[in-house]
Amino acid sequence: MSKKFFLGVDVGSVSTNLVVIDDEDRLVFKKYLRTNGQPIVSLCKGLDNLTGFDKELEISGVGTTGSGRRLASVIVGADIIKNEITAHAVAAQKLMPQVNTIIEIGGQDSKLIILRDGIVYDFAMNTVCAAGTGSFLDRQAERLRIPIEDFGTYALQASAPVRIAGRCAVFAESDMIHKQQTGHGMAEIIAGLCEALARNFLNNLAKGKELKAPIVFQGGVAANIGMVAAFEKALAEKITVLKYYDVMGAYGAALLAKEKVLSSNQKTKFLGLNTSRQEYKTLSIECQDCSNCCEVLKILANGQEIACWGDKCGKWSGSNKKYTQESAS
Amino acid sequence: MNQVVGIPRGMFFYKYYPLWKSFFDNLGVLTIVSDQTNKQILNDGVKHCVDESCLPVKVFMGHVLDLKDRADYLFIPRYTSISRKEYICPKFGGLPDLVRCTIKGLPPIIDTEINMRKDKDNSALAAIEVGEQLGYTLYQSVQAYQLAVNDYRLYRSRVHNYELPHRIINNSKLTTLNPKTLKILLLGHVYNVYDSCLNMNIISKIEQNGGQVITLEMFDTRQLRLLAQQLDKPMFWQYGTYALGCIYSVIQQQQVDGVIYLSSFGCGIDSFVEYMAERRIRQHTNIPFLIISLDEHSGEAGMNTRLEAFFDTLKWRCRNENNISSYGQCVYDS
Repeated sequence: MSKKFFLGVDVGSVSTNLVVIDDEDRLVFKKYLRTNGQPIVSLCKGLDNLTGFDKELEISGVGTTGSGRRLASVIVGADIIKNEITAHAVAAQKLMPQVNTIIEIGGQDSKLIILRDGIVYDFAMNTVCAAGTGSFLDRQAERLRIPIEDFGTYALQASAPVRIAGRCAVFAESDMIHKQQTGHGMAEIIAGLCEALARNFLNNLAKGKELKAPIVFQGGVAANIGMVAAFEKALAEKITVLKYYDVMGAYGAALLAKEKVLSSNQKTKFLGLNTSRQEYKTLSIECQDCSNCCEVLKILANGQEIACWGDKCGKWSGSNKKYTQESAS
Repeated sequence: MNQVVGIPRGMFFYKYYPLWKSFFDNLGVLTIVSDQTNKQILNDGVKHCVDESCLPVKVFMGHVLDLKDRADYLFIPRYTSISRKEYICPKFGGLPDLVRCTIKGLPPIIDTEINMRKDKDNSALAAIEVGEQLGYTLYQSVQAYQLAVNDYRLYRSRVHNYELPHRIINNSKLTTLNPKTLKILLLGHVYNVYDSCLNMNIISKIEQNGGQVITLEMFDTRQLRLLAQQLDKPMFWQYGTYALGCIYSVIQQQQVDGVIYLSSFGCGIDSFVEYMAERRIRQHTNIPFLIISLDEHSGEAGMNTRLEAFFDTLKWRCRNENNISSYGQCVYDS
């Protein structure tokens, strides 16, 4: 019997990740790409990479997650579309079955997932503000002209981290500049920033929640050893960073796709690796037919419409009866 | 008399519309209602209203603008209190004035005060006053109001029977209680819970995820008051008393599978009722609790992700319910 492979795709605000697992849940391929504000382009690039890796690879199931999960599902043909929280929880549990707390910090949102007895018990996500997330760290690294990869090493060199207000990204930045102008070293400021982010996360998301060990830390920011140290200091607990920490969402999506395909015995909806060769275009229109003025989006592949959404009445999307406005019924 | 009274579809609309509609019908007064909230109404409201106001008040302004040129009178009663010794949000008390100062060229506003803080029959007196303004005698108004109260009771009993108020009022398809679906208590102010545009269709989304919505209005208010006596001291706000009454009822009877609290960004009452509710739920039960705060952003992705994850949590629990090890150990520990 030939081996089965499953593809997981996580299209996030900052990174687009692809992983392929085999039927024993081992990772055989992983790709971490920057989204750069162009989810379709980076997704196609990822698929090209996969073709370059092994073009004979037979994919038996596809799962998509992340904020661009719906868009990704149309392009690759997904068997399952899952929210990030479930995908991350499933992935962490696979690698560490006894996990009780998951801290996930991504590009534009941060999540806290609490598990008890093997099921998700509670979760919290940051509100609209992106102050405590990766994109803010990215910006600061850019401003200080330090590669983001070295951020953590700098933080660990600090003798005494300075205190920086982490409540709001704008205030944090002016606070950092102020500390910088009074003469504090780069390492101390970076360490202070890491601590501010950890404090902000715990104050915002963990309010009133019990963070029981074992605690895992995942998402792109987990690569930053300074952040890991800041969380360990704040929580006085050991923080584990699992081996696939940067692609956990995609790994979870692949696991969920495997479960779905194997349990339903259906053939995969995967459109094949060649789907990245097509030319994709999106078309935004504001419908003027009623006072709702819906922003309708059409996705075209080689000039043919493959998906459409955004309308409340279902007039444009036709079959898309999901989320119809109450008045229509 | 062919005068038309315009009723804006905002604030307490989904609470008291059936009462006043019936009252005006019985008097023979024509009424019109503003359209269901849409982008136009939302944008108009945001544009015209004072900046620091909450979203529901802004939306109300949009509804007033929608009615402005279609009605001879606007019906915006000044609700000060709707129950004994309790208050409601002060924005209700100032609403007619706020409207008058914000929008120019309005038809006359019927802004009779309704204050039941001292006397629960005050709304009948208010009705007489409303009738008077429209040129009806005391006898006509009293009779119309009595009939309206009967209609209102009928409507209330339909709501108690798990029919959603906005669906009754908008004549849309009603759903009946299905014992197999997950029951979700959706707590929040009437103007957040039943306005499908403002809350980004949360009720339909819950239903699409396989849930069924139970709201505060479906509970027996007398019972809620009794339950709320467990609080250290009486709540100042009528809504708070009822909301926490619901929470105590859920703690006692466990009749729902999850609680979602829908709060308005910047709402003073919500800001502490939501945490009082959360603390009690977490302390005394294992029922999942989710807070969703509403503001002006129209991107639905954030809400969809939270709702989907919330339902995954609920379903995951149900699936595992039969797998609990009799040894008191987790079946997943290896």
